Amino acid sequence: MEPKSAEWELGLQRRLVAGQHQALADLYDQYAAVVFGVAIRVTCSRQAAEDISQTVFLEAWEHPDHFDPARGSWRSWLATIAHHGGVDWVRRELAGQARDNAQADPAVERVPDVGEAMESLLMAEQVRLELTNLSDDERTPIRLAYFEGRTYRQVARDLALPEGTVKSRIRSGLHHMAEALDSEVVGQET
Amino acid sequence: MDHDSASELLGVYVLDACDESEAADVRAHVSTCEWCTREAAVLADLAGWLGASEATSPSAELRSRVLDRGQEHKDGG
Repeated sequence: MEPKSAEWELGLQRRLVAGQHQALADLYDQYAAVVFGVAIRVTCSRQAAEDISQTVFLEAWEHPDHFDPARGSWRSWLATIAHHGGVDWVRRELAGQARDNAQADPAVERVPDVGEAMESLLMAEQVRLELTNLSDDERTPIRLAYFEGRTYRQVARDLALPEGTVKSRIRSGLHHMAEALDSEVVGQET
Repeated sequence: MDHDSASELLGVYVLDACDESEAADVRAHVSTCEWCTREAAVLADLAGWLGASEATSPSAELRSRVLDRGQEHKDGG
């Protein structure tokens, strides 16, 4: 598996802009598991997750210029679009009980990905660990918002907390994770 | 939306956990505020890693489907 250096990411963007079909294959091979993983985690539906994944990769293929390498990695950009798609799907389709039923679907079983570069796997593992290390107060709203696609207002209702508390706990939780992951920029509270 | 309100929302914003109108307000502020742009980029990158921590292999058929559609789209103009 090719390393995902900044140079590789830029080159990939150039090849996509040039319309090289192999670049779409490379993008897919590198990030399909992340994109599909996010989508299936949020939707709990294999069908929805595949449709969302297809949309995400075709979006990148049709509009590679929308990706701004100065603002983050391909992984982050694709995961963001996939998450967006998943959240839209959940909010549109599943107002009631359907999601709980879908969660029991035995077809939705995670097959851990082995395609990502070792460095990414280690980082992903580290992120999982840091999420676990957060206090319940911070971890629970982050999980409900990100992995279950709820708005912070819904999370506040579900946890019987003021909305402001949920906002600040999510933000401080993300900061704690970023600090633990040695991020450079975070930590400058207003 | 003023800076304080927008920066308070950045965490939930990067997790797609705002209402749509609120998200649009945050986006508008971020595009004019250097501090929030930087902060949002860091938090969004972290959110991306949260997603990566869930990496799951899709079916092999999806790969062919995506690559075929990609070919058709570009061929079709």
